[in-house]
Amino acid sequence: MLTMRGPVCWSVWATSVVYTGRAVSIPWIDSVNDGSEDISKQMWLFPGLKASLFAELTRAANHRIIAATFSNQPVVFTMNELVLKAIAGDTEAEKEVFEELLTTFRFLVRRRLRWVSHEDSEDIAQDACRTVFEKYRSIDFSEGFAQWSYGVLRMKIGNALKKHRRDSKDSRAIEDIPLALGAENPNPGFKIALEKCFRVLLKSHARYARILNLSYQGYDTADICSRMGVTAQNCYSTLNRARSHLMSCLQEAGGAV
Amino acid sequence: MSQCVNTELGEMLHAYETGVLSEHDSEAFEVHLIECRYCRNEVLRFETASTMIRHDPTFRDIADSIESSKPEPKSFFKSILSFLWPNTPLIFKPAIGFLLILLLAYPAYLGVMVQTGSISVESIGPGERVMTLSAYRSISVPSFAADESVRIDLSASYQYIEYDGRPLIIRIVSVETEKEVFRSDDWQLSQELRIPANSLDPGKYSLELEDPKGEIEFNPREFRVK
Repeated sequence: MLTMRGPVCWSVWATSVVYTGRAVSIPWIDSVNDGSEDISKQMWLFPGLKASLFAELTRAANHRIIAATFSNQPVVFTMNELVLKAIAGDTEAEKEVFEELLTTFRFLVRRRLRWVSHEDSEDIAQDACRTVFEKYRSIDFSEGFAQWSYGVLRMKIGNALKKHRRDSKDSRAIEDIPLALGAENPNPGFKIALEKCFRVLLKSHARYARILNLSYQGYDTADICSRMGVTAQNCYSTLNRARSHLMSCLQEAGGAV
Repeated sequence: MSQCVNTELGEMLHAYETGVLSEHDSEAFEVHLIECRYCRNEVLRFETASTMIRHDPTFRDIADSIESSKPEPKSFFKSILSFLWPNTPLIFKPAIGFLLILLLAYPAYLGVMVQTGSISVESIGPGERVMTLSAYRSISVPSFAADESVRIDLSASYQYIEYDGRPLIIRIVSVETEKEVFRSDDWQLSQELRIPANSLDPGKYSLELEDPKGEIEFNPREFRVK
C-alpha cells in the first residue's frame, strides 16, 4: 500500500470510514508497524498525543479494521480512536465522543451526588464536558483520554461537594441523605417486582445475600473476600451471576429493567 | 458494541453497581465506563434497580432478614445428631439423650453387678472349653460339645471380688433334671476347675457359685453341652 501522509491522508481515511463504515487500513500504519518510518514525523498532526500511545492506538485500530473488513462487519471505533479522529478534524467523531461522554458524566454525577437536583447534576455534567471539549485538542494524553476526562469530572464533582457543604446547613453525611427514588422511577410496579425478584434471588443465592449484607455494613471487596474466604474473582462472578438472574426475573415479571 | 473492551474491569460490573468495590476500584471502573459502551449501557439499563438495591432501606431489610433467618452452620457433632434423628421434636430430645445415656451406662452397670457377685461363662479355648467369671458377660448361652473337656476357670477375672478369704461353693446343676452333677465346697478363687470329657451328658446346665456365709450372692450362669 502507498504510504500517504499529512492531514489530507487522515481526512480521506476518516471520511471513508465514517461514510462506508469500514476501511482497509490506516494509511501510515505500515510504517508504524514495520518501523521503517519514524513515528515522530507524523506526530505534528496530534500535538497533545504521545508517540507511544499514538502508535499503540493506530496499530490496534488497524488490526480491528482489517478484521472487520474481512468479516464484512461494520467497524466500531473505541473511544480513544474516536478521539483521535475528532482531533484530526472529524466532526462526526467529535459529536459521538461528546454525546457518549455526556451520557456517562450524567450517570456518574447522579451516582456520586445523589442528593443534587436533576438540573444541578445536568449542569455539573455539562460543565465537565465543556471543559473537556475546550482542552482535549491540546492536552497531553499520557494516561489516555478516558482517564484525563474522568479527572476533569472528578474535579467538578469535588467542587460541587465543597459548594454544597459550604452552602448547606445539612450536617448529615452525604451517604445518609435519602434518595428520592420515586422521582427516578415513575413506575410503582417496578419496585414491587424488584422486591419480589430480590427476595427470591437472595433465598436461592446465600452467598449473594452475604456479600450484600457485608457491603451494607460498609465492608469493601477485600474485607468481604477475606471474611468469606473467597477470591475477588469469585466474589465478582457471584455478583454477576446473581445480576443475570435478577434481570431475567424482572423481564419475566414484565417490568422493564 | 456487543462486548466489554476490558473483561478484567468488566467483571466488576455488579460489584460497582451494588457499591461493593473499594473507592480505588470504583474509580477505575468509572474510567472504564467512559471507554466501554457495553458496560455503560448495562449500568444505565440497571441503574434504577441497582440504586434501589444499594440505597433503599427496604432492600437492606430484605437481605438482612433472609440472611438472619438461615440456620447457623452446624458443627460435626450436631450434623451427626440431626442425621440420626432428623426432625425430632425438641421435647423428645432430652428423652432420647437420657435413653442414650442408659444404653451407654448399661455395660458399666453390668460390671458393677459382677463385682457384687454374678457368674459369667465366657471364653472358649481350642480343644477345651473355658468358662471364666468375667466383668463382661455374654447374653447368649454358651454351648460345648460333650466329647470335650470343660475347664471352669474362675480365677481370671474374679480376684477383685471381696470374698474375705472364704472358700466358695461351686455347683453345676442340670437345668432339666435339677440334679447336681458337680459340687466343690472349698473352691478357692485361685483354683482351676477341670471337668473331664464325657462327664456331662448333653443338656442344659447351670453354673452356680455360693458364698457359705451368704454375704455375696452370685447369679447363676447357664451353659449347654451338646
